[in-house]
Amino acid sequence: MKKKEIKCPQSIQEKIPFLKDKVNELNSQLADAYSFVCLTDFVQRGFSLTSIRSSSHSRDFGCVFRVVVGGRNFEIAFNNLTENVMDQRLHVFVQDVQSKIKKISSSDINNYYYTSPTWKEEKKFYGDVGVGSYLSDDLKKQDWVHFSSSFEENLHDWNSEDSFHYLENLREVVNRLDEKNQLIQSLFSLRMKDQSSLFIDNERVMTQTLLKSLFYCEVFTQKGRNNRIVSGGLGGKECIFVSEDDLKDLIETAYRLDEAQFLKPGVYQVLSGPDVTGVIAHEAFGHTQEGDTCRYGRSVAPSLRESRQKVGNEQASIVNYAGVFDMGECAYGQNGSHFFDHEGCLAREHLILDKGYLGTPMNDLLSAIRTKGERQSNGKRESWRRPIMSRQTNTYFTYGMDRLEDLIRQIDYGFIAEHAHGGMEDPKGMSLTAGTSYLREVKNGQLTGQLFLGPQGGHIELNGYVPDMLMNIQGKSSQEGCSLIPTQKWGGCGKYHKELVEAGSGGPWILWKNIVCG
Amino acid sequence: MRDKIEDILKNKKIQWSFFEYAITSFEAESYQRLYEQDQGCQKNLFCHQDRCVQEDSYDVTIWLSQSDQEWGVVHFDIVFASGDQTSLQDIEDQIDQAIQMAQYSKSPYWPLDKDICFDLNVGTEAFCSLIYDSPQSVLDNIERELSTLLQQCEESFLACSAEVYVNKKQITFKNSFGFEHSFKKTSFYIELALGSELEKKQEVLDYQTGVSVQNFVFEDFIDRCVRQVTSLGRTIVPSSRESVSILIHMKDFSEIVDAVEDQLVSFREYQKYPHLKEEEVIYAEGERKGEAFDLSCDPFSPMMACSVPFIGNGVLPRRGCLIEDGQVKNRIVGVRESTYLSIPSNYLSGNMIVSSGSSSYEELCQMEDEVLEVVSFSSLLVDDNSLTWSSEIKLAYLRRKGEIVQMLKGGVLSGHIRKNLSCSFYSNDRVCYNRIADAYHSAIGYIGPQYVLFKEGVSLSGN
Repeated sequence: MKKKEIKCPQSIQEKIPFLKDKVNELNSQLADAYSFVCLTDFVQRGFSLTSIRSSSHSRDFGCVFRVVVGGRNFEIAFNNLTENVMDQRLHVFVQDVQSKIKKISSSDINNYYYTSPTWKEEKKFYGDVGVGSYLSDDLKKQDWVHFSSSFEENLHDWNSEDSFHYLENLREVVNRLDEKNQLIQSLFSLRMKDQSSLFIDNERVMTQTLLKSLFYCEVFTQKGRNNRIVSGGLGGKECIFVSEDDLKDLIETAYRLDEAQFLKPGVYQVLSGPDVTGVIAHEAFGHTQEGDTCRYGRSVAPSLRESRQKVGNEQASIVNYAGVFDMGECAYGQNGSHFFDHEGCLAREHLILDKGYLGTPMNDLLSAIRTKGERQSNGKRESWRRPIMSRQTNTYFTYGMDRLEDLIRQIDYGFIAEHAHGGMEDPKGMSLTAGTSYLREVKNGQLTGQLFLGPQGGHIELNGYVPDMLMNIQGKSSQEGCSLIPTQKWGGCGKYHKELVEAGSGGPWILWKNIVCG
Repeated sequence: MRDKIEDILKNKKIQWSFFEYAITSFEAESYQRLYEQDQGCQKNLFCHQDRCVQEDSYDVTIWLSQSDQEWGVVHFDIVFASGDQTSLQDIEDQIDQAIQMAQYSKSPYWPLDKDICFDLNVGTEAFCSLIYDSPQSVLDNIERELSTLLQQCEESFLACSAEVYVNKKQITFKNSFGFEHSFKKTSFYIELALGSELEKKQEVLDYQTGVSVQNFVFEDFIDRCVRQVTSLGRTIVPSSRESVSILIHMKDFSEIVDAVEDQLVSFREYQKYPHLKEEEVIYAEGERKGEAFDLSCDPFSPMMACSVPFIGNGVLPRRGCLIEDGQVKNRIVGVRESTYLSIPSNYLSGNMIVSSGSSSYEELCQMEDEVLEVVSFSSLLVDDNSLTWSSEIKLAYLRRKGEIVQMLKGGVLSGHIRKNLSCSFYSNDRVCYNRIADAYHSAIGYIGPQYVLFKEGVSLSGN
């Protein structure tokens, strides 16, 4: 099916001339500073079906004006763009920044002086691939470029009746496939997101529209066990396809979880699927490589990088890349993808771990300025209401060379972990946890059919010291489909315990020698 | 703008047999500063990100129907780009879209709680903000205190980073029944990360949230962080064992209690999700071997995160007993669940109140030959369906006969809440703890013991 793109929405487009003027005014009033504005218009519709139907519609529209000077960020954020209100707020903001600039040393102002790349420089860097394909050779100062994700069928074109009809049909399928007829409840949920943003600085004007779709289904047994499917990505209906086989497996596994054994806490050989592999990548040298964490002295990564200490074997390579627009066998990207981040840095592929050696950190703008490091497309925020931080986009292990069946055969006694259930990192101590909903037992290279829950009947945490885990990767599955990028799963990320952003994570199947499971 | 939104909604009302709405408007201010270490001065922090957020938002809920057999309900935000006439059309389009959604979001009918009025005479001071100063000046004060106290510490440590947010919100609620009420909500968040010069692979990250800084004792917070960082030492990963006694802090215990309280929400019964039933005993196998677990709720506790002047459409919330000695006495029943399940409504709501025990902190530490005191979890995940929890240990003390013999880091603790509560012991103090709502978590207001010892239902996975 032919793919379509979305034009820049009117709500954003009509603001371009007006906001350009405001940025230019900021530049003239704060000559030593670099200034920009980012406006976001995020629309989300949700439909849920259980015993009742419920729907919601949310729209978040707001802007952030930023001034970078002397290695510091000053921001004002608001959602009332009425001209006189905005002018008043900007006036107070500029006065406040001017008084604070006086307290910054001239050496800091000079040392951390920053200027935006021009369109010409961007084109030279990116060439004709990825985001570069959107940039023509003759772009001039403050010319406008629009980026859009593509889709086959836009779920925003569905009205409520269509959406509930879709969910009701799936519920009928689940009821038909539930041969035991003992499921006590099933939940079906559809979510459509249309995220548009505008970035303007003194050199560039760009907009992007990202269409994301998510389907979620969860079933509950009478014994209180539950199982779920999550399917989604950067696109329309093509992202949320769920087959009858998937639903059949969902139901059968839920019943099998009623009879699951509880795991004895200990150390095991584990084969992780793309979902869990992705969480491990995200937690391992995802968070530890975030530029601000490194800058604060809260990560061990800078010292490891400097000393060229190996922290993984030859199979340990991890990429962070926002420009994921196809992956595995899917002709669509994932929810962590973007064309530019919240600071106007275009998406670029970044090898953060290369065969066991750490690469450069994932920098936001300020981290790049203050450390004189390379800028990356990792400046993200939860919303215009929240501060900017170095955040991951899509993080994944690279493909390997093994067949999945060969990896399973290598397991003497261990488990397969396929469905992620959260995760956490410790950038200083280098430990991580990656949760999984349940485990499938493998003995002598064969699946036994037995499922395991955690020692107390909950989910299982996979835990370990990151260098030990990465040194003991025994194998990785090979490429599937046309894409060089492995499958990413829909995900989210919290910085320690807050600041929620979207982040895809994935990778091949990976066989790990020893992981603490509990 | 709120009046304009209401005018549009009133015009829509006449097209329907049943049409009600509720508008919540927010005017919010937030001041946020992020800090990092000042190069060359290990206890100095400087502000690298300084921001101000000003928000005007409107949330609307619509209930509509052409019959008294069902409601169509939708909840949505109104966004306006500017104040001119164009945006009013835009708002009307948004409302029309929401009405279209509501028509297909049908639920069985329930009487909206319009006949139960808010009692304006009931003291509203409980949940009013006591921050009289502007949020910006409060933040300036916090910054000064933080800097002064860190400099004054004699101990050696590295101040790595900090974050401070001060938030103030004016909320006005108005519905189509004529109920209208305005109130303020305030909150603050302070986070501090300290490192040790000797222990390079460990750090202390602690944070505090609250409704008002009036009850926040800076010295105690800094003291707690500094004590932790100076006690960092050589840690080991513990060995696996099927059963271990643990001592946890109220921050973590409150999340466990929150999961229990979730199961008391009677709407879960209607939805057929796992839930606690009336008279059910929460202790595993119905037997208590430790101290009694009592849980009640109170929406009027002063300066607490879950104190509210009203719930629903203007209903006076109630305080009451939920669980007494492990047995469910009351569930949380609003008018909707009451109608669906044919049970009386009770409007119980608010902060969680847990009874204290009879032992001091030191006595709890010595209650078993070996106790694992959890200083911090890496990320405690509590499942309110299965009533289980697990997390990696970020830092813990292994105590033998009350004395710290080893510091632990790594390994995973998992727990079964019913088993935990069947053999738990509570400290004899009473403390307040607030967690402000964010994208990840709902708000928690907790009043209860500071420490809890679980003797059963916890396993440890390690080396």
